[in-house]
Amino acid sequence: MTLTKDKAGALIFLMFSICYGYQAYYIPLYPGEEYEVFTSQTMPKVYALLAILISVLALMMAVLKDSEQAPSEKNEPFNIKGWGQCAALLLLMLFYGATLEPLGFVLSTIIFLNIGYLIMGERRIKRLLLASVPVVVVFWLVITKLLGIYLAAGNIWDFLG
Amino acid sequence: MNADILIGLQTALSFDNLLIVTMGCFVGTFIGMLPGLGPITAIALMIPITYGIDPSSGMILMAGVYYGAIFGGSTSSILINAPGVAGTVATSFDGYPMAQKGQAGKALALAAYASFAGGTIAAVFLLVAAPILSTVSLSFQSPDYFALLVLGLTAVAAFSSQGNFLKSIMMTLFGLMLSTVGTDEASGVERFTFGSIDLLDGISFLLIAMSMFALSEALIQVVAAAKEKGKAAQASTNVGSLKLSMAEVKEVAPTVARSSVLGFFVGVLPGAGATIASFLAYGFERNIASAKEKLKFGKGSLRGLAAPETANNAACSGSFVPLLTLGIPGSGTTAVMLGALLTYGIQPGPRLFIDNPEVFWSVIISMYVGNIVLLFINLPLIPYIARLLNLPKQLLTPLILFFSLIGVYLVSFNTFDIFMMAGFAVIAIGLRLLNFSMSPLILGFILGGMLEQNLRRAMTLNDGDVSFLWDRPITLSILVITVMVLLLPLISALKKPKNTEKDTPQVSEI
Repeated sequence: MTLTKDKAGALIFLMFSICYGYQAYYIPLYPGEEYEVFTSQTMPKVYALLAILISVLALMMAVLKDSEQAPSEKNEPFNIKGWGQCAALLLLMLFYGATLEPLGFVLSTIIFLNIGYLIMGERRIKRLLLASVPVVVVFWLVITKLLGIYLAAGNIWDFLG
Repeated sequence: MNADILIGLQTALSFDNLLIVTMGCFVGTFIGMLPGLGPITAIALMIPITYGIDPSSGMILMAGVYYGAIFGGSTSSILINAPGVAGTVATSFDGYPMAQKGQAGKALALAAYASFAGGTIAAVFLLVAAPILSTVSLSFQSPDYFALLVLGLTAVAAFSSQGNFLKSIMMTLFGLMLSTVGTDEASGVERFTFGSIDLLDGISFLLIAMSMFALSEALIQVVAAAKEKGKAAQASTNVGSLKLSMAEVKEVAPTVARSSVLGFFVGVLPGAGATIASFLAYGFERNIASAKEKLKFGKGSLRGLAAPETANNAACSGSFVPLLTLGIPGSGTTAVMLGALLTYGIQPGPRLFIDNPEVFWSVIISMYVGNIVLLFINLPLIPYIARLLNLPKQLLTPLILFFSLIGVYLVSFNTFDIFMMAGFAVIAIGLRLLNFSMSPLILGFILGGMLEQNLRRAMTLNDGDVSFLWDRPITLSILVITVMVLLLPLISALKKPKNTEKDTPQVSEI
């Protein structure tokens, strides 16, 4: 029996629902709230129960479907380059989140965009700079001057003196 | 009411709002044209901007982007056979063959006229239907709202675009579960925050919309990029004449009229929307065509192109009916709009019509304006806009990521949100790979709060007795419809487990 997309999806959701339902029992209640007809735990418990039922049903359907016909999903060759880029961009997003406040908006965004372009395969220095610096500066001007939203300067400069 | 319409007219036709709707249509067309990016992404990217302007202008901007995105989707369907939006897949059946015959300009013009006609006729229906429905829904009570919300959530799953009922229900439940994160509004108790201060306010809907749609769509495109390189290169070719002959107009006029009506009513149904409307209209036209005409379908038939184009735009207008009158969105796109309205502090529903007539009417009137903008400004510019399709992807993707991340950050000023977005983007990519659709999730997430609130109120008022479910005829009838909607696909799924499902992760949902 192979693990098809349907089965994997249903199994993952089943596990998630069980964890969610388990956590729902630990939602704190105020003294006396347990006598109320509707508490903060009610909906989470209902959702968890429904989700468990539905995922078990989906799992059964997927197994039934599997036994009746051979799995027809074609195994596409793993696109290493594409997934590599995708993973690198996700890491870059985390990096952006970590640098946005220490370095400030302008610097961190210029770095984010340039590394992003590099990950996507752009190598021409002129293009890299043209597609990042003006975009960031214009965006910064619009946000701070036009819309009047305050963007804090990076706090790393305080430490550097 | 006439005074209210005048206020709406005044708001919609003010210089600022005209500028906003024009800009919205342009941006929408551009984003909708990019394969894989749909109206939800386009609207989500606009939300941070709408926070800076007043609610009417914000809604007008989003409505303009919505139309623009659908039109943009048609453009890429016709020019490069790569529908960016599920609602325009049927457009490519006859639109692309026309483009291959060198009639791309004619196909684009017909698509624009059909969209215009569909949108306009539907907007007239909306003008008549919305106030009537609003008046009726004023008598609704908590149990009725609860029943309606359940109907909305199940209908979305039942009509899910990928045809997989159980998976859509799972996604709806996932969305409902996510909506319970944060402080419980009624009791003040923390739920699923795991002691984190950042989760006390719950997860913002903008964050979910951006990461589940904009981020994951952009990242999935990175993986799929290699396949589309060749296609995009063809987009700059000459589109040819944009003119339609009188005989051609006569040929498609009845089709346009039929598809508008069909599209509008399908759009009004919760959960159905533009995709189903366009396929239904296409199928309907093919069925009633003469044997000779039938052969032309799929090979560049004018009627085959006009039908889905008219219907998808009419359905877009139709989907505003449940949103504006009942406060219950029927599609992913209108759900995102509802989320935006709620952050403005405006609760759509029957009271909207009374409390904020300027929002209600200006949105409806700006739909006409949006359609006019698309026809008279966007269409002549299409050959130039099409060139934007050739923008280097290596520059575009990081920019989309940047706008999504900063859009959310500028609302919360909390970098925790950026980390959370990366996490949700990973979850969304995984779900897309497993053929789950995202629309039910966003709908469940946005409606979760309302569902709990109404059920809590109804249960508390009835002292825990569930008889409120059948005490009122309205509640009972809505619930009976819900059960029917729920059972039909379940039975058909049980009957036909062999149902082959389409693996279409690259088409954006509506």
